[in-house]
This record gives sequence, structure tokens and C-alpha cells, in this order.
Amino acid sequence: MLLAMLRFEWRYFVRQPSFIVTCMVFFLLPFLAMVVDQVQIGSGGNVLFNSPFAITQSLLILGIFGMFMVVNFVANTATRNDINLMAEIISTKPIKPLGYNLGRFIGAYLVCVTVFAMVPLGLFFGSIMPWLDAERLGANSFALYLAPFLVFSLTTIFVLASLFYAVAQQFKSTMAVYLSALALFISYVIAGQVFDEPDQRSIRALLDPFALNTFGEYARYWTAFEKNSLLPALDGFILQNRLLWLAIGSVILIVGGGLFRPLSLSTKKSKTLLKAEAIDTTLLTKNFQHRTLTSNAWAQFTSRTRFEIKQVFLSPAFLVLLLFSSFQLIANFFEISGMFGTPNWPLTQTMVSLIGGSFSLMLIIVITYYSAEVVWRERTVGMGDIVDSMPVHNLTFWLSKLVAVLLVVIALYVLGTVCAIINQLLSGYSNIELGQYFIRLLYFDALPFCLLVLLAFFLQAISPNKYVGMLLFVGYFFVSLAFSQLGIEHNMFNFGAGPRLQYSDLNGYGWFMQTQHWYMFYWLSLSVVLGVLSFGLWQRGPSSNLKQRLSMLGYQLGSKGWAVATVALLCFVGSGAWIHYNTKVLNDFYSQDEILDFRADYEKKYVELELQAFPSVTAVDATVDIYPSERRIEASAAIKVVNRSSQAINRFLVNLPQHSRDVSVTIVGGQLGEVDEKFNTAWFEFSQPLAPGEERSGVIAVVREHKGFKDAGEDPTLINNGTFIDNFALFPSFGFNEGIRINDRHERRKRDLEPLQRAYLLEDSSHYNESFFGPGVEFIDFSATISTSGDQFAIAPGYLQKEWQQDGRNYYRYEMDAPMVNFFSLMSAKLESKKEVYKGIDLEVYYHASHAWNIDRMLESAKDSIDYFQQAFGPYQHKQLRIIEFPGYRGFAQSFANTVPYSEGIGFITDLRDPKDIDPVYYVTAHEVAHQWWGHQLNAANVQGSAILSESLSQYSALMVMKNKYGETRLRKFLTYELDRYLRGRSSELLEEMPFMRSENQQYIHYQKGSIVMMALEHELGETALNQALRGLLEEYKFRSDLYPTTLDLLRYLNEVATPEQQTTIQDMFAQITLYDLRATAVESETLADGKFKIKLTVSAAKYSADGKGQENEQPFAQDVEIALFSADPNDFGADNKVIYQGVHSLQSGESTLEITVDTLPTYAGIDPFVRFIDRDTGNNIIKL
Amino acid sequence: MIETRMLEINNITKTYANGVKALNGVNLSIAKGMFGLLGPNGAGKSSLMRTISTLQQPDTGSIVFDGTDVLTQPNELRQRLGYLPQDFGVYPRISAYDLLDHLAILKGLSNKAQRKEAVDGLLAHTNLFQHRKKAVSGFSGGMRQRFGIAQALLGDPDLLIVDEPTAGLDPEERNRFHNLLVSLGEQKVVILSTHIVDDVSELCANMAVLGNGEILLQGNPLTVTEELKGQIWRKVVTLDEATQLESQLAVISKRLFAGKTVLHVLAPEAPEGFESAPATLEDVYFSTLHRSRANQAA
Repeated sequence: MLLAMLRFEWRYFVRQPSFIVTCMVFFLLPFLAMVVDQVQIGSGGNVLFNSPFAITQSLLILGIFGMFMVVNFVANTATRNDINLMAEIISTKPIKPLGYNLGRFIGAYLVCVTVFAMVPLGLFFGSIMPWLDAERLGANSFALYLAPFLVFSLTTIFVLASLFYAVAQQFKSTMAVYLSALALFISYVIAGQVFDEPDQRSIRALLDPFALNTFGEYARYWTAFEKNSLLPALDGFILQNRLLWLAIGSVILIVGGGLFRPLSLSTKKSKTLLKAEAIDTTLLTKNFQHRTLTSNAWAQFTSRTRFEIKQVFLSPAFLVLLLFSSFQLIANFFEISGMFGTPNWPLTQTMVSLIGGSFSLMLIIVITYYSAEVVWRERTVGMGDIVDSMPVHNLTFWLSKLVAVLLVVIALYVLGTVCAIINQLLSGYSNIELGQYFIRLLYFDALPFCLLVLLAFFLQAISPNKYVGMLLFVGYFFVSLAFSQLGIEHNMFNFGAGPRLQYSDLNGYGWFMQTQHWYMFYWLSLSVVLGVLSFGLWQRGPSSNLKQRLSMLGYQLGSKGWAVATVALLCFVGSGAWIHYNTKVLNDFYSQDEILDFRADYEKKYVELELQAFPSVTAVDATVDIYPSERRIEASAAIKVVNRSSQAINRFLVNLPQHSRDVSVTIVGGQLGEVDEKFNTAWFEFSQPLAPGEERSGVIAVVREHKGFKDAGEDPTLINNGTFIDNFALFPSFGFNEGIRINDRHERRKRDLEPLQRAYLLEDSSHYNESFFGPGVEFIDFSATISTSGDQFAIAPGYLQKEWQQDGRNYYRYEMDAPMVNFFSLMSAKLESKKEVYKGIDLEVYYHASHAWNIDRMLESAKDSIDYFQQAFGPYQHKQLRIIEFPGYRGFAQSFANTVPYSEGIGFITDLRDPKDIDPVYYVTAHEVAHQWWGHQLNAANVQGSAILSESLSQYSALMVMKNKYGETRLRKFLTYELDRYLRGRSSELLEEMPFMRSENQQYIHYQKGSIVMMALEHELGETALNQALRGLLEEYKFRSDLYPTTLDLLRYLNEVATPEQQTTIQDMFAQITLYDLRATAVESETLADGKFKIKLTVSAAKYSADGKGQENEQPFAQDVEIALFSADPNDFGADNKVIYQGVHSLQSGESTLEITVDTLPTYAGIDPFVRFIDRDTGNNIIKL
Repeated sequence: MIETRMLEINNITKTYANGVKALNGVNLSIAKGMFGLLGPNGAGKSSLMRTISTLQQPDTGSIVFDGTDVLTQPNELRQRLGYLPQDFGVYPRISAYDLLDHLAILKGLSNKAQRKEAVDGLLAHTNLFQHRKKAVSGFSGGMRQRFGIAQALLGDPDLLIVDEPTAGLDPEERNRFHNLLVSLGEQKVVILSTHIVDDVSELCANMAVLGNGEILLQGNPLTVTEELKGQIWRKVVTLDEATQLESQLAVISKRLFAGKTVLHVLAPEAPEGFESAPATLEDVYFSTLHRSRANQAA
């Protein structure tokens, strides 16, 4: 019986179109993921396309999609008899239930497994495609694909199949099964977002039925080497997780699957008989022979529209859709966290972006489904022949159905808005900008989807049935995703698309209103043409082919239809021409590939100049007139240049700035030659060469402005409100521009470029006289006269000397009295300000009126920082410190001399009400203030490790200020985050991880590892000694332009204050990539006779050294490690936690047991609780008693 | 008798994409009144009905109804058309009254009072008034069929096309429907497609037999029956005898009566052992099909 049923299921399914189609889908998706660069799953950088990690990741992610495939087959198996009205026939046969049910279940399970086996197959076939870059593929082997399939896929599909089979058996309804799948999916997504704290990781790993988190945890910090070589094995988390879910699946199947239940009819099938009312015979005399009238299109349209809307909005599917969407959105609300897990205020601009983001993919599904459902409704329910033969014009059918589907799209956005506003109110946020919701959601988000609905309708209208129509639409969607891959990047060729809005509270819609108007007009015109064709070709009757309908097109459209189509077509062509003129004639448009090619050509042409000398700027007096509403800057600067090299300079390369005209460079004794249009460069030729050490003066001038509009690459530096541009972007730059070089090693290889040397060797002293801003950028004398429109103020570094009005414009004169790096910002905006004088320093914060929450915290941090840094490192060089908010087009804070521009996206909008959260505002402000010392007083040589001197030292300084305010226990949470980000950063390293002191502008090293290393140093050497060393370094190199320090100099000062043992440790930290594995494995307590407690703690320790690719070798461990006992969970940042014991113990490799006697009974014990070691897993450092 | 030819069907041919030739040079000329279209399953009846109802374009040929070219002016014809397809489904979750009212609007009954009168009246005539608030999707087969009849009559069409209208109706409902059709039939063209010969003989003044996409016979039921007078012979036989006789004679029908097999044979003179039988329309129908099959075999 069992085998017979199994065979039957198998034969039944393999002949179903759904089997073939899902097989194709599950083959093609991974196949495409393998062969299309943009959609790589799990690979990238040094991780190979067919690495075991990438294959496992693909299988796991597709496993979630696989859920809906399993639902389909299992629900079909379980409810097939009822649906196909076979139940009465089957139930009357003499069948043993167990064999029958189990056979069906296993049959359906095997079908699911077969379909899912397409995934590794697709990956494999993808990996052997000849056009793939062979360097990015490893050796293929059977085990690569089989191991993850066996370990994960087989079990996951079993769990899902059991669950859905049980639901189907219990409820006898396909809908119930789909709902349960949806519920599972929703709870999975929500659980993932709610439990995202680092200390909840292991529980997530254990409970994830899809094992995505399990593997994620298992391979969390895998380096490229490990990702390329390790197969997932059945041990640790993976084993526990799989056993758990196998057990759960089996229980569900046995208990809920009704395997032993005798076959019977489901009760709800029997129809209730209709009860008749008494017949009113007088009605029979009524005249029902009223004649059909002509020209009643409006009545038909309104009735039809009402009807369609009712059909859509009152269907259970719509309710499910609304529920699902709001869940998905609400789940996202939990995630509005900014830096370090601290939430941001729910700004309207954030909420709108969230709604747009969480609905976009779903809307594609909604449009696909509803267009098909609504267009073909009459055919599907069987009313087609009746309704199609009614005297109703095609236009009426088309338009009423269109309105219904458009309303679905709009309803989703309205729902999103309601959820978002409720969320805002619940969070205590009251600045609800209804106008922004309305304009952005309807005009920028919903309208393009509405146009897609028109496209979907058109595709349905020309398709012979709804499945072909859906396939065409989904096909179009997937192809459009690959447009950029095919080199089609201009929005003019991507139906319904326009430049993507970035909203800023400071600058509002910026230039996006204009582009949106034009692009939407363009696409709307085309959509009208498609619409006219759609109803002209509308299918009436069961089988009229497209050719016949085309022959009737003229009749169906009539002269009005043709006229509308013609006008729309003209509008389409006209607006298209206008967009083309603006984006490609007035402005340049380059595809990603063209830009890369350009960068490669630039490098090839000019790389020989890399080491050639050019003049350094030593003084700047800038005159900058900003016209914000016209988006124009007229700027000139009187400069002094000097030849720092030992040879005379005859000529040098000038890189002209973007978006600029009338660029001139005038230096005594020379002139600027012709401009190379391709590279936007020119040679400056000296008729009298600039001799070594010779100083000359000159003038550079430029007009930056914008014509028309662009398709992409708009200039976010020069805008209506919140202009923020630095001198590198505004003025011409000299010499070979390193920044144009391509970094990606694969892109370089494609273009025959040598692998990039990211930085000069630490020991290469020929670059010790160049600052890390690049050669030619040194300390300058600075002053500026800057003007802007009458309603804005303008800021440049320096002190405000004079302020005046002239011709309705505001003028400011800034002069700097201390040397500053030739890196300055020019800003113009209309903002609120808060000013305060602290110890003779003017503190100023400029901010957008609705972002006022954290101004005081910033000021407090600035004051605490100034206090600490002045005392520890030396005086602040300026008398002013300004923090200025700029639009969130760019999301960083950056320190210029006495000026800190700070993006609206960070800090200003952080919600600091919960004291348990890390305070990123305080931290970022302290970090940026610290740069006034590290970066602006102490520059660094242009070699490896330069960012350590600016960033890591600023991290350290900021953390010391944090530690003084919040205490060491609370710093633990911050450092845990930093350690985690370092470990993840190294696992996605593109080239090679460098040791700390040789960091090549690798953020995860100079920021994250920097925090850990510097705080460990502080612990090792003591605060005083470390600050003394830093102070010594600063004093030696402060404001020097002739010789810049390196990490070797830092090391030198550190060694001066360190004991020989400490020097070894420092060497380990700086020169090696060292990783540790510290664990607390067991703890026991014993009450002693004197009322004290003896705590017996078992810990283990191991040390590894890694190479740049992540290959590790174990080293003997012999170091002092901190052990602490706590009265409460140290992960609970807000708890009033007492450290009951804190002591240093000397540990060796392997396990050791420590005995500690304390007065009060602790509840938690921990090894290295304050994160002083680069521990591969901090999750196992704390143990509960 | 002078008849106005209202519906002219000329040389309609339709071959489906799968190669099936559904209609092959169909010519029909239909006057006001009831017209019966007889034919076995798969003969092309529904194809022809859908073609006349503007739901399907033929490959060749023309159809003109009272001056309106059905194929090039479908919207104009639909103003005057009532159509009941062979089988149909209905929207879920919508009551009989609401659905009929909606269809009435689509039919062009925009006057609210008139529409209500028409909808009520039709529901009453089809014996559905007492069920008007129930969802049509919950109706039994017969009730649903009656609903189909009601919608076809909306707007008092000049051309009423009903495809197998009595399928699933009980005898009482069937009579009721026949009476309704007859009362309406005089003023309009009613085309009744069916495989039940009695429907045609009871109702129609004109008829045609369609087989394999071709018109095999056309005429007045009485006249065509008259033509077979004296040529139909019958014999009561056993099952074995029946098989034997079928191979020798032109047996047009073989049916059971009280457990015995009754053979009808078409022949100018009585074959041995056969007795004379009165010709019926059924004999005409079967003999037409029999001849058509014989021609095809030959």
C-alpha cells in the first residue's frame, strides 16, 4: 500500500505543470545567482563563487522560498481528494489508513526534495558556465553541493512538509495551509528582528527551523580562507538544531498528521439546502421586457467599478494581504535602530522610506497576482461568456478593473501610513508630516507601481491566459533587475522608473521634484498608449487569438481612441527627447562600466606621475559666493605654493573639478594648458621652473553650477539648503589623483591593471614627508570671505572676523590663527543654532529646527572631551568648535579644523531616552572632537597604518571620555559591538587583513580593532602612562609639515613607557593578527564556614595567529586574564551592576580551574568581561551561577 | 408563407489551434421564431453559438443579423443579444438579485425603476425570486441554470441564443421554461441548441442538424419528418440478433424498451420481420447522422 501510494504521488506530481514550473524556478534562480555578478549569494571578495560557504548560504536562503513550494505540493496531496471531488470514491475503498497516508506523505516529501534538488544542480551548472571568471571559482566537487543539501535541505523540507501536512489534515483546507505558511513566515521575520541582540544569537541559532541563523552563527566569523574550505558538518549548533527540528517535525507528523485516522469525508462539504420563501405570484405579471438602451457607459462604468472593488476588497485574500503587509511593516519598526543598536526617532522621512522599502518587492507580487486575477476574473469563475456578450465597451471593462487594482496599491500605502503614524504617536513623536506621507508615498512610491499595473494589464491583455500574462510580467521584472548588468542603467529604459528620491528634512525634495515630474510624465504617456492598446485588444470570449483582435483594433478604438493614443505617443516621444537632452546632452551620463573604464584609463595614462613632485599649497585666501537656490558657487582663492621636492618642477597635472566651468589656475611664471575633455585634466606648464623650496603665489578660480537635470550622480554638495562642499571637490587638485584608481581587484584584473597597492609600505621613508591626506596636502594659513543668500548663513573654518550684508546677501569673513590642514569645508544653510562659551571656547551647534533632541548632549560631550583632551594631550588649538548638521544625502560626521559637519542621518535623530542603550551621540561627538588633536594637530605619514594615528587614537580618546561618564561595565557593551564588527569586517575582507600597525585604510581595523587594542593597552599600561606616551608623540610632531609620524613612532613612544613584558604584548597586538578563544566553561559555588563563598570557576584559553587570508595557527597561551564576578547580568546595560570581584589571573593554554573567595554570592562570573582580548566568541565568556 | 430572414450565416469555417475543424462551411438562414439546432456532442454547436454571440471569430464567412454585421460590429449586436452559454460559473459571495441587477446595468437598463421591474420579473419567471438574497454560487445546478436563463432574457433581446438550456432542469422547470420561450419566441430570433430531440420537436418551427461542423439537414420539423413517412421500420430483437442485424441493415437507432432491444431501420421497403413504424423527428435526426457517418466511412 505504502509503496503503491508513494508511486502514485510521484507519478501524479511529475506530470503536473506546477512540478515542471517549480523545478525550473528552483533551477534558474540559483543558476542566475551563480552567473550574474550582481546577485551573488554569500560570495564576493576572496570568497569563491562555488565556495562551500556560498553554496550553503544559497541553499539556506532558497530554503525559505522553498517553503511555498512545499506548501503547494503537500497541501495538494492532503486536500486533493476533497477538491477534485474524489473523496467519496476514495473513502469507500477498503484502504488501510497508515500505509495510505504515509505513502502519500512520503511521496509528496520526495517530490519536494526532488524540486529542491534543482538548487544545487542549478548552482553546479551555473559554476561550469564558460564565461565565469575562473579565478573566482574553486575546484568543483560533488561534496560541495551534497553536504549542505543533506545536512540542511533534507531536514528543513521534512519539518515543513510535516507541519503543512498536519495543518492540511486538521483543517482540510488549502487556504488554511497557505495561511499557516504565511504565519510561519511572518513570525520568522519578526522573530529575526526582535531577537537581534548579540546575546540572543545562540538561542536564535538553536530555534531556527530553516537553520539560516544556525549556519550564520556557526560560520559567523569565518574568514575567506575558512569560507572557501570548510563544509558545514553535523556538530555543535547545527547538530543540536537539526536534531531538535527533526524531533519536532516527527511529533507534528505523528500527532497532527492523522496517519492512523480512517479515511472519511470532511463534514463541511455537504451543502446546506436553501430554504425557500413564499413566491409572490404578482411579480409574474411584471414587465421584464424593458429594452436595452444605448449610451449608458457611465452607469456601466460606475457599477462595474463598484463591483470590481467589492470583489477585490471583500475577498479573504485581500484581508490576508493587509495583515501580512502590516506585520511586515511593523516588524520593520523594531529595526529603526541607528548606531550600536540605539534607536532613532521615527521621523516621517524614515517612516516613509521604511514603508516604501518594505512594500516594494511585495507590490510586485501583488501586481502580478491581482492583475491576473482581476483581468481574468470572468474567465476564472466561468462568467466570461455571459459578461463578454453584454453590450459593454472594452474600455469599461479595462478601466473598472484597472481602478480596482490601482486601489489595492494605494490601499497598501494608506495602510502603511496609518501603521506608521500610530507607531510615531506610540513612540512619543509628534511631528507627523502628512504632506510628506502623501506626496512621497503616492507620487514617488505608488505612482511607479501604478504604471506597472498598466504594464501588467497590457501584458495580460495580449496573453492567451492569465498564467502566460503573469509569466510575462514576472519575466519582465526579473529582466529589469538585470538591466544594469546588461548596461541599461538610464532610467529612461526602465519602465516606470525615475531617479530615486532621497529626502532630507533640510533640503526637502531638492531637485527630485523636477526629475519626478518629467520622468512620470514620460512613463505616464507611454502607459496611456499601453492602456489604449490594452482595451483595444481586450479579449472577449474564450478564445479569440491576438491576430483576430488586432484586426478589430480600429473598430474597438474608434477615432477618439486613436487620437488619445497618438497624443500620448507624441507626449512620450517629446518628454523622452527632453529627458535625453537634459540627462545626456546638458549633462553627462555614464554607466557603471563606463565609469570604471574611465577610471582605468585615467590610471593607465597618468600613473607614471604618481611619484612625481607637484607644488604644495601653503596658504589659501578664498572668496566664495554661494547662490543656493540657483545651485551655483563662484569661487576663487589666492594661494601660495611651494616646491617641497628636491628637483625643479617644470609642469604638473591639474585635475579639474566636476560640474564646473571657467576653471582657471594662475601661478606666477607659468600657465594652464589645454583641457583634455576626456579626463577633465590639463597640464600646468612653468616657463620658469619652480625651484626646490621656492614659493610663489597664484589664484585658482572656478564656477560650479548645474544645468538641467541628471539621471544619476546628482551633486549633493551644492543644494538649496545645506550646501556642504570641501576644497577637494570645489577646487582643482594637483598631481595624480589616487582616489580615481579602482580598488576592486577583480575589476582591475578585467582591465589589465596591476593589483593595487593600497598604501605605501610602513618602512618606505620616502613618503614620510607626505601627509595621509595625500602628497601636497599640508598645514596652511587659511582665511575666507564667503557669501550666501540673505536667508542663509555660511561657514568656513576659522574665526568670524566680520559679518555684513550687501545687495541682500550675507557676507562673512573667516580667518584662522593656527595652522590647519589644507582640507576645509564650506557650508551654507538656514538652521537653528545653540551657542555657549566654555572655558574661553565658543561652542556652537547648528541644527534643523525639528532635530533639536540631542543638542545638549552634543554640547556636553564636546565640553567633557575638551576637558579630557586638554588635560591629557595638550591645548585645543582653536577658540571655537562648531557642529553643523548637513542633509542626509551623505551619512557621516567629519572633522575639519574647528568645524564638524554632522549628517542629519546620525546623531541628531538618535532617541536617547532609554538609558540602557549605548549613547552614540556622546560617542560620535567625542570622536570628532578628538580629531582636532589626532588628525588636525598630529598628521600622519602617507604609509601603512596612517589611519591608526588619526582614527584609532580618536577612538581611544572618545572611549576614555565615555568611560569617565558611563563607567567600565557599560563600556563592555560598546566593546562587544566593536569586537563583533571587527570579526565580521575581517570575514568580508576583499584583499588581505593587515596587522594593526599596517592597516591599509581598513575601517574594521582602524576603528573597530582600534577600540579593542587601545582599551587593552590602557588596561595594560595604565591611563597615565598611555596618555603620557601619546602626549609625547603629539608634542614631537604637532603641526609639522616636514616630517610626519607613523605607527612606528607610536610604537616607539609606547615602548618607552612599557616594561619588557608589556612590550612583547604590544608587539603581539601591533605586528601580528592575534586571536584568542577564552571561555568560561563551568562554575560552582560553595558556602564556607565563615559565611564567605568559594567560587570554583573553570575557564579555557587558546591563542591563534592568523595570516592575512584568515588561516589560523594555534600558539601557546601564557597571559594574564581578567576574571570578574558580578551581582547581575553584565549584558544588562541599565542594571545597577556591582562588580563583586575583579582580579587578574595568569592562564596557560587549555582548561584551568580558579578558586576565588568572596563575601557576597555573585550571580554571574566572567573571563575577560571587559573585552581586552580579540576573542573569537564573546558569547561564552559570561556564565551564570 | 413569406418569412423575413433575420439572421444570415454564410460559409462559416473555424479551425482551432489544435487542428480540430469545429465548423466547416456552415450556411444558415434563420427567421424570427424558434430555431432548433440539433447535434451530437462535439458536433460544433457551441462553436457556432459562440460565433453568433460575438465571442469567437471564425476563420472565414460572415454573419449578419438584421443589418448588423456580427463579426465586424460586435458591440452593436451585443445591444440586441441575449446569450446563455452551455455551462457557466458565477462570482463568489454575491446574491442572485445583486448579480442580476449588475448584469442588467451592463445590459443597458439604466433606468432604476425599469431595472428593478425587469429583475424582479425575471427572478419570478424563473422561480428564483424566493432565493434572490442567496449567493448564486450556492445554488444547485438547476437553479443556476434558471439564473442563466434569467440573465439571457435581460434587456428583451432580439436575438436570443440558448445553448443546452434545459440541461439539469427537472421536468416541471423544463416545461415552465419552454412556455416562457414560446411566449417570447414570436417576436425574436431564438436559437436553441440541444441534443434532446424532444425539445426541438416541441418548440421549434425550424431546425438544423449539425454534425462534424457541417449542416447535415435544415428545415421544418414536420416537413422533414413527413419525408421519412413509410420508410421507418422497427423490430423487437434480442441483443445477439441486434448485433447481427446491424451489420446487414441501415440501423439508425437501437434503443431499449421494457428490457427488449428495439431496432429502427431506414429502408424503402420493410426488411424481413420488421414492422412499419411512424416516423418521428428522432428518426430524422438519427437517420441524418447515420447517413453522415456512412458518407464519411465511404
